[in-house]
Amino acid sequence: MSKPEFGPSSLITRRGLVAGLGLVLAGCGSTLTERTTALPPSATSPPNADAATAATATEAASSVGAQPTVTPPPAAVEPTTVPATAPNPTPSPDSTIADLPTGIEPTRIVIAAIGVDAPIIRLDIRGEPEVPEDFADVGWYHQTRLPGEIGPAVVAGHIDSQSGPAVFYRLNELTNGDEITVSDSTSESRTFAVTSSGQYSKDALPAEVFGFGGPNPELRLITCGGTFDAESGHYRDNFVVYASEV
Amino acid sequence: MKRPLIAACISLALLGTLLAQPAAAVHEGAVYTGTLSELNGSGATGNAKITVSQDGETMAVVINGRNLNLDGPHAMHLHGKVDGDTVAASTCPTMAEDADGDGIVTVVEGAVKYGSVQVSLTTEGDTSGDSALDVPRYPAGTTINYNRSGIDIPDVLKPNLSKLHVVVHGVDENGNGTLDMDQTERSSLTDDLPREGTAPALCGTLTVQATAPIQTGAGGTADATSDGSLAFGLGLAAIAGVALSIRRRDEQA
Repeated sequence: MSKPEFGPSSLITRRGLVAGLGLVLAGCGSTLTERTTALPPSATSPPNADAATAATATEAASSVGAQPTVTPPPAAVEPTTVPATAPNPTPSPDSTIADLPTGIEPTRIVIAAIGVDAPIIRLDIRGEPEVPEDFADVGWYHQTRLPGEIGPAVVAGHIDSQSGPAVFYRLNELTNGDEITVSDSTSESRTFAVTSSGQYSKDALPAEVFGFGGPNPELRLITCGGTFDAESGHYRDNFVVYASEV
Repeated sequence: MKRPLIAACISLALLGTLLAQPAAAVHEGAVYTGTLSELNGSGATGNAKITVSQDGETMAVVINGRNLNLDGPHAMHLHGKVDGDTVAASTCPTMAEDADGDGIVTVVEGAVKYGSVQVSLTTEGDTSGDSALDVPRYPAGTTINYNRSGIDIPDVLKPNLSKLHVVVHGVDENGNGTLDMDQTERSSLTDDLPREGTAPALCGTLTVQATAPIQTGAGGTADATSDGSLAFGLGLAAIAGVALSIRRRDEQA
C-alpha cells in the first residue's frame, strides 16, 4: 500500500500536519466559503443541445382538422374556441401524503460487510460537487432524497487518501443483498440492500446514477474507480453501488 | 494560540451550517432531469431538464416528447404533493391507478400519485395553476420541443424541485390521432374537455443531477504500474509540502 517514495516517517509527518492544519484551514475555509462562492459556469450552462431548435413547439399544431373547435391556434391567437376552464384543478389528492414513506436526515452509515461505520456529513451537489474533506467521512448530497423517501438518496465517500485506503476503499467488494444502514441523530434508521453496481467514466456518468429508478426508497453510494490519472490527481472512473430499502 | 482558533472555526462552521439550513439556499443553479414514460398507451417517450437561475427565482424548462399518439394540444405541468410548506416525495402513476377500471388513468386518478398542478408549462404568459387548462397556450402535435426560461418558481417548490413530476397530458383513445371534442367520456376535471384531452400521456419524476465529476479519491492506493507518472506526481507533492497537500485536498480530493 505505501509507496517507496514515502518513508513511514514522512507519511506520519505529512498526515499529522495535514490533519492539524486541515481542521483550521481546509475544514473551516470550505464550510464558510464553498457554500457562498458563486457556482462555476458549468452549473449555469443553458439546457442541452436537444433544445436548440425547440423554441415554440407550435410547429406540429396543424392537423387537428376534423375538430376545428380545438385546433390549437398559433401562440399569438386568442383562446376563443377552446375553453380555458377550471382554474387550478386541485382534486385534493394530497390527502394520501400521510401514506408516503418518510426519510431521515442521515448522520451515520454502517456497512458491516466491508467494515464501514462512519459519520455522514451534508454535501452540496451544485457546481463542482462537494466531497468529504475527512477521508473517513461519507457525505450525503442534500439535494437528493432523504434516505427512506421514495427515490434515490445519494452519498459519496473517498476510495483513498494520498497515503492509503479511505472509507469506501472496499465498496467494490459488496455483493447483492449486502445490507447498508443509515441512521439519524436520534438513531432512527433505514436499511437498504445492494441490488447492483456499476463503473463509469467520469466523462460520461450516466443520468441513471442520480436518476429516478422506481417507486422505492433507494440509496446509491459513489466512490472512485478505474485507473488514477496522476496528472489531474483524480481517478478516471466512478464506482457506484445501488441499493433498495428492505 | 491554536485552541481559540479552532473554537472560532468550529463556531463559524456551525454558524455556516445553520445558515445553510434555510430552504431557499439549496437550489440556486441546480439542474434537475427526468425521463418521461408513457401512460394510457400513448406510446410516447420523452425527457425533461430544469435549470434553476443563479438567483433561484426562475427556472428554464426543456421538455422533449416523441411519438405522442395525439396530434393535438398537450397541457403540461409540474405536479407535486404539497402539504403546507413541505413537498412529499412521490411517484408517477401506473395503470394500477385506474380506480374505476375504465382503462384510462385520468388526470384525477393519476393525481393520487403525482399530486396537483404546481406549475403550468405554458408557451407564453402565466405559468401558475390558473393556466392549468388554458389549452391554446400549450404545445401541440405528436412531437414536443418545449424550451422556456424565466418561469417563476413558487417559494414552496424552491427547495423541492427534485420531488416534482413532469406530466404531459393528451392521449388518443380511439386511434384517429386527433382530439375528439365530442367524446362521450369527459375530462375528470371539466366537462368542457373530452377525457382524452387531459388524460396523462407522459410522466417523469425529477431528480437533481451532478454537473461536474465527483472526485472521491486521491490516489494513495492506486497501482503505480497502471500509470507511470504516479510516483513522480506523488513525489512532487511531497516535495512541495504541506501547503500544496492541503490545497490539493481542498480542490481535488
